[in-house]
Amino acid sequence: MFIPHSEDDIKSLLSEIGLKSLEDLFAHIPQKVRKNAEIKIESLGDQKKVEEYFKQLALANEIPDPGKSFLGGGYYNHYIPAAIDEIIRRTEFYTAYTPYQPEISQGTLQALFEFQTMIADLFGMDIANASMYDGATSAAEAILMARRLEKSKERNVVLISSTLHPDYLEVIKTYISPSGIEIGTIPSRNGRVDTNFIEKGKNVFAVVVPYPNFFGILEDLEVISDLTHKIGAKLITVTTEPIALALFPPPGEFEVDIAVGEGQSLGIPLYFGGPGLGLFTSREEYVRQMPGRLVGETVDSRGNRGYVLTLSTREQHIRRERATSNICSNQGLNALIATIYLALMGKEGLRRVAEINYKLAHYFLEKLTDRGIEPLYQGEFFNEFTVKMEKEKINRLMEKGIVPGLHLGRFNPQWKDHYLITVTENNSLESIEKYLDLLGA
Amino acid sequence: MRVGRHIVHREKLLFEISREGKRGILLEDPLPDYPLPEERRKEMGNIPSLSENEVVRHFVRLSHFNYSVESGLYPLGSCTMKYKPKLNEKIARLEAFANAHPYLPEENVQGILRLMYELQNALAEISGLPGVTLQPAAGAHGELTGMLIIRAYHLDHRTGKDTVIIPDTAHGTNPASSKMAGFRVKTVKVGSEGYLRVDDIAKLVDDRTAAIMITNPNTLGIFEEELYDIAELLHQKGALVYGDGANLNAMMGYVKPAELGIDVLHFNLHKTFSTPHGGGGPGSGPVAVSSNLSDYLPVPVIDRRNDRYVLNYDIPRSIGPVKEFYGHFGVMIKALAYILLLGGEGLKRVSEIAVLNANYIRKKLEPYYDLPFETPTMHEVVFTDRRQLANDITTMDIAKALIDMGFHPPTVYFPLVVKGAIMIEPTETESKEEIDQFVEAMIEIDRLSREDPQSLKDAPQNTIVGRLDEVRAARHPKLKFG
Repeated sequence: MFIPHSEDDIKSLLSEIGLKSLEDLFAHIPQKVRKNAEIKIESLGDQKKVEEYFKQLALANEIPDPGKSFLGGGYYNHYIPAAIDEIIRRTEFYTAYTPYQPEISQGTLQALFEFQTMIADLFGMDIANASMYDGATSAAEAILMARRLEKSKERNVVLISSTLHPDYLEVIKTYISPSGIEIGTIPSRNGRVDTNFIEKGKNVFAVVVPYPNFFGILEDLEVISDLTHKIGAKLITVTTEPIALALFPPPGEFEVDIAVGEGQSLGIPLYFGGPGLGLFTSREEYVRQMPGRLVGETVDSRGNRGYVLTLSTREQHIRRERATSNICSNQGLNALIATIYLALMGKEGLRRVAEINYKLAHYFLEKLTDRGIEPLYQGEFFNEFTVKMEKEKINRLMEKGIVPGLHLGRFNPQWKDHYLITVTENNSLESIEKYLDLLGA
Repeated sequence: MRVGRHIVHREKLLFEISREGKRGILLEDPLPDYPLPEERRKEMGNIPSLSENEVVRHFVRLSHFNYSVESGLYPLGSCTMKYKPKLNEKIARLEAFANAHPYLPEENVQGILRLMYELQNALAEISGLPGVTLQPAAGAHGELTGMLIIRAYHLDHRTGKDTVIIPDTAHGTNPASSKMAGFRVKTVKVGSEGYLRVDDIAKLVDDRTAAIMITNPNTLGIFEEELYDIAELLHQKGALVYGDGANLNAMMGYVKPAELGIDVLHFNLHKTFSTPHGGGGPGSGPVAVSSNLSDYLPVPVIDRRNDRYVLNYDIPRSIGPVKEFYGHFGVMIKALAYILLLGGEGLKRVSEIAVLNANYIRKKLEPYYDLPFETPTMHEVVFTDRRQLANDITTMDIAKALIDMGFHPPTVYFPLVVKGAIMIEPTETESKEEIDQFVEAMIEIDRLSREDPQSLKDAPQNTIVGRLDEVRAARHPKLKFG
């Protein structure tokens, strides 16, 4: 298939080595482990047959038009500029690996330096790494990092807002279960975290707050930051929709210590939930405890500027079991996608996308409210909001190919009539009108 | 000469090309008069202002600075830099796959769920281990997942075991993942022949031993001949065996991991199964486990009930999810396409040619470079710079000289047990012609190490930048523009 050797080549290579057959290469392997070795998978035949097979698998799905989907909740339906795919299809980018040999990886390295710069700035923070797997694992690693930074062993509690995405909380639990760290849940009131509880926190080393939160609402980071630092803890924010940061004041303006998020919104297609992009930023003084790859600027032997992976003594290939994390790769090509997206949209374009999201979402909610569908929570939001809807109306919309929102009942039985509706630049005014029409009077 | 001159532009940073007033992609505002919030962000930092054409040109120029698999041999040991089939790229871009939101109802994504289910089954067949999770994002992530599963097993059985034995040849992620999963690590030295001896392991195994983490073939490219006995020993002592599957390319169709006594195995889809390395990701690190460990798999797992595919969250003793959603679906598509194109026969052929190519390189370079172990080589071979050191030429110099000759260097200075290690994995997709050129280059470098060592010290000369000051980068970290 992708083996360029002719039969003659194989014979020639074997003869150079002094062997008769390919099986001889495996002769030294003990017989007792060679049982059942056959991989019983049938080939589909040829490339054409494989293509057909996957086309059928693709057809066996009912994916709504982007304009007709109002699904969000951690992954977002945004307009992806055509130029991105052109660039990432260049094999120089997608078939290279981790830039261990910087002289022949300056494409990857310079792009990652640009990525780090723009992500740090988007979050309003000092520094960003070259990316993590996704938003949820970034949140987990942020907590572990805060724990490493904490000098007092007694401070063993992390307070996590109950307005954080429920799936993120589950991932955090998985990651921190071996560490002995205790999780305290901060209750919510009216869709926002109840800040009174932060003040009462004991032995807390970190407070984790989403921004915007799972219900779409922007938490009051000024108050939260004050209270968190008052009790001697570090503030970690989690942003699942970074486009919001092009409109609202970013975490950095609120003295946040570690700000993480999910970068899928920055030009990465949905792909049923992965691969995404973990965004990880912090204060400069914490850099040596940061997990993940870091790209730094330097000079070469001739005085030219160049880029290299740096501060590797934090990482597993140097420190092994004493590393800040086990993470090895980053999200490579997806970090490149985000870099290209931010460059293509630019300052103005990004701001414009954020404004369109905000306006359409608020306009839609207004119209829903006119029809008696009120938001469940008060408070400023970006592009998603939570409402109560009747199953019958939901079904009516689904029948017409519209995915009306995310059913929150899947996370909590108490939310069985709650829906999170997300509106982005992919939803036109027409599609909103259609939605409203189908709801009836 | 393999390498010639060409015009390659020096390219500034986006922020240096950016100018106020240049405009990128500006979508039309459907509600121009609708009010905006009062509290708004005031500035956007270094987010640039550039036209689309300038942006595209910028990244095209950057791409010229990268060496890739499609440029030539990229023999990084244990990375399996094989050819990335373009069919995979085409299939992955089918709209139904690219535009599927992870929260769509199950009825809407039956094709997608079926694809994942089939990949689970394929990986179960390839490993001989029935319980599969596709969720982990990368190899290291799979290791963490596997070690968390082992931890859950021991907690459940109240064994109190808290120690993992790891060979000194292991990839750094192995001890790092063990540590993250709450274990302490004990290191075992590889034997004098380049593989682990069960007697050495026996000396280290005690009541606290929860598991051993092994890689087979190991990072020396050597088959762990005593692994079956080592696994037996560990099982007898109530411990489990973790298999790092990074080197699976060496033995498909010849050895099934389960037959070695492995209980937990991670795969690297971006290595063995041809998905793109992407400049450092995204990869995918599914994990397969024996049936008694299936109770601990991360949620959700794809199940089939009658003729429907479902996301099964009902795994009461699951370790929990290890990432958001279900794993790197965009990568899984490519891996399954590869597996279904090749079939079991094709995968066996892959391993045969991978091992053949590595052995050929060993044979051709043995007269020139020091080979630390006489033991048979599988898919990768490790040499050292010992002979060249006589002229003060190091592994680093050899690597940089290879760059000037148009090759990506092999992995250098790993595994740590070999001083000045040069770890070469050609993979099966390299032709005899390309390998012969590589061999020629290595022989030439050996000659130059005696006749013109300075030329090697000065390498690389043909690249856009020369050797970079990494000490300076670490001492005065500059991690962003400005």
